[in-house]
Amino acid sequence: MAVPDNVTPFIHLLRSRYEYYFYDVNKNEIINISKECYDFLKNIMCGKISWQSPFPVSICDEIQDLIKNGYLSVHRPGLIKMPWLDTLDYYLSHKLHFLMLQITQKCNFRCKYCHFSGEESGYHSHNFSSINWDTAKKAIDFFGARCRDAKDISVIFYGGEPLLEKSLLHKCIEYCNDMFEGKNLNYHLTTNAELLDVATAQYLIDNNVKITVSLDGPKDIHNRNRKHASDGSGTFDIVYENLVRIKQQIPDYYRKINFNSVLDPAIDCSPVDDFFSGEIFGNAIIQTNIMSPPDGKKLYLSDEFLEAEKRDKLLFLMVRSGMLKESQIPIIARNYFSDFYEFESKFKKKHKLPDITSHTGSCKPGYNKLFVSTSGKFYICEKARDDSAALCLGSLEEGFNIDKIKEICNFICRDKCKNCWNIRNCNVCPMMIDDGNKLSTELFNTACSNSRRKTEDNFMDLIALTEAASIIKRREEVRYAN
Amino acid sequence: MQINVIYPYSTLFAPILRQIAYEKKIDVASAIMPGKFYENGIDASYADEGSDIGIPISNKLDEEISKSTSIIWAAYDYNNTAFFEKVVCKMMFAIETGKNIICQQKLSNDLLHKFNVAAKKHNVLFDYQYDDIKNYKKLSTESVDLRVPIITVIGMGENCSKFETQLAIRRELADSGYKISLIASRQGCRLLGVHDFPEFMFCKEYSEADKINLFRNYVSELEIADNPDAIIIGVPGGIMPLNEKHDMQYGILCYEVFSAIKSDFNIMNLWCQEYNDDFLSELEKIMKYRFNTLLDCVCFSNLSINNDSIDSSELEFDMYDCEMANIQMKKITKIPAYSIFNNNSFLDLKKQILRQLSGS
Repeated sequence: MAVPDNVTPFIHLLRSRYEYYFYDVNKNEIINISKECYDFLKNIMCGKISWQSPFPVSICDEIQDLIKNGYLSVHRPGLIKMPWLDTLDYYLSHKLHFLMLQITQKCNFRCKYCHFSGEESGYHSHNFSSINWDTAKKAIDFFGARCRDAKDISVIFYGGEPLLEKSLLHKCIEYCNDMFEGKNLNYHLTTNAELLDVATAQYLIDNNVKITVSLDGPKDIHNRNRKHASDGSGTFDIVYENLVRIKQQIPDYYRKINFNSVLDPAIDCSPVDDFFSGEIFGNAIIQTNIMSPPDGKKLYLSDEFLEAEKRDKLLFLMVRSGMLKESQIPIIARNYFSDFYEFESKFKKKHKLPDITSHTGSCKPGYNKLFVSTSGKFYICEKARDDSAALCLGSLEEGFNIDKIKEICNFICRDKCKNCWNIRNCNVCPMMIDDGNKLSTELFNTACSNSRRKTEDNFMDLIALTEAASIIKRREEVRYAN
Repeated sequence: MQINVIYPYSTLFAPILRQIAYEKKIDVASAIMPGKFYENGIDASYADEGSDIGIPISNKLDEEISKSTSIIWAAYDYNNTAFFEKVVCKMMFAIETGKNIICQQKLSNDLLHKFNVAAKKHNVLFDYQYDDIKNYKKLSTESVDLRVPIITVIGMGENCSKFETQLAIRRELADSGYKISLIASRQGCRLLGVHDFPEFMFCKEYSEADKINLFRNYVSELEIADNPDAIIIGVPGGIMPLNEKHDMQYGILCYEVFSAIKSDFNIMNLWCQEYNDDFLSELEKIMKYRFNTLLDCVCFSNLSINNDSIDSSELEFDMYDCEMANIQMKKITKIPAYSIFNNNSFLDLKKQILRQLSGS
């Protein structure tokens, strides 16, 4: 069948300071090309030249080679639809594997950056509600009855501060151990560690509970944002004392405990690195992430922070280019780029796009994660706004609202995705397009633009790494030759 | 009176239990499934979405074991060592309290030795269901002729219900009065009167050419020993790699089996999804040019690859109800297609087999 004149290769053009590239959507690869080829493809993409017209002689071989190797295909999906929709009932009735149980909304801390501290509109706020045993048991039963074909089960205890409800937590763990025997069962909880005494830590470790302790860094940095709910005082001393006691009694505790540090860009965060290099943390995994700005607001970024960020990016590039070992650079520099690592790990060569497909952003609502609130309502994930009508997937009383789930899946799959170069690397999820009452087309469009920008940034980082590696290799060759 | 229980029961054991229930040679009181995510007392077909088995699943482990005289230690896909250790402890305790064990779980030599010693000490039976490789050394590698008709069951990959298909065909043909021997694609099922796919086929100490000759001899010895009307051979693995991550054993076993024997009726099991005529034509060509055999029919499993797992290190499968397999079966017109767990479908398959093997 003849290809219409207005059809173009399914690509996205990219250029660095030194080289020219295109990203091939069907093959999911970035390809280095000549400037002439880049200019020609640019004219094709903006409609100045038809893809059906003869290729210029100077680049004819280059383009023919690319075509011969399967690049520059004009193929696009015929239908945008989540392929799993046809088997939705099966997944929701036999393959649930990830339960997130909101143990309590209470918290003994009031951290300045916490979505739950009530400073931002719309999100869950700390209150006095905890899940009762009857509701928790029903939630585990509901989930259990739908997990026959899942080999791995993850149960996440979510707060507020889950250790405020220790006896309930123990009951849930005992019940789940019994319920899911024979499956690969993992638990996880994040705690501020004020109530993490030695006995509790030992119990959690014995029951295969992975613990993440929220600890921002040394005393002055930690206490800047993490304060007691009761009197606003700093929380560092009690948390650190608990960790010291646990380290003394359970020397290899770091095998099950990770740390999460939220970096405040308003200050110089470099002391965080020295702090986590301390002996007490052993080989524990330290994650860092930058404080997220409140809705509609921007964060103040200090000069020191921006300088450190530039330095860390350079260090990261040096590690990736083989000039430094990862262990030689600060923890923060290693963690800055966890998003990039995640992107890179998923960025694999592919064959052509399927005829029926969807973009990669959305999860399978209810299946990837089932969040059960203290009141027994189901949400798409823990980040959903409190009482979000758009993202509530049902309740323990009513079960899954299948129509709602289909509605979400259909809303997020747009016909325009057929022609979007970001279809394979998109991160637009239902969370991003919930305006509090409904899923919003306007928010969808904004999320689309942001996602494309983010993917392009990741592509440029990949290109920079490749170019840096190539420059280093050339220099090595020259040095070797001399 | 013998009271047998199965532990730990899972989807892996479901086809075996269905066969046990059909043969009625062994009484099984219950199949004890780990966990409590299912309804106690529900029919054992819950595990594989197949036809009713007539034996209940129980979650009362200690109670059922204490009432039993023998435990069939089922093979299980262990995801964590803690659970395997628990099962080992339970079995050892069962031996110490006088229970016989029929062991279908593959064990390390050390563990096997411990169980044999314990069984001897407590004067109970420990029947390990796997063949000893040493037995094969007497087999000659010289070529022999085979006269008995051979039905082969192969799969487009792993986990597409080949074993269920083999057992179902054997049941159907046995119902019509035929004596059938089965070399199963799954090992450790001697309690069903099934012959293991021989261990030497997986061994490094034989060359691939020797394996082909040995396999032909293995089938020949079976022909003489069992004197069957036909032999069903289930071939482990698939016919070709699925992708770079999942090699499906490259179809090597399939190649070796078809080099060793000539199939008189060849069935290929397919995962439960939609296939077009072009795909089936390609399958026929692969069978002809890679394996030197024909494709007589396809049989739909109720298992399908989970698309999200195709690029991950471990393949995941989705298990649909048998209606989904029936739907996919009905879409195939190019070659005869059948569906697992569909009794009428298997009656038709039997008719096709008998028609072709009798030359009518």
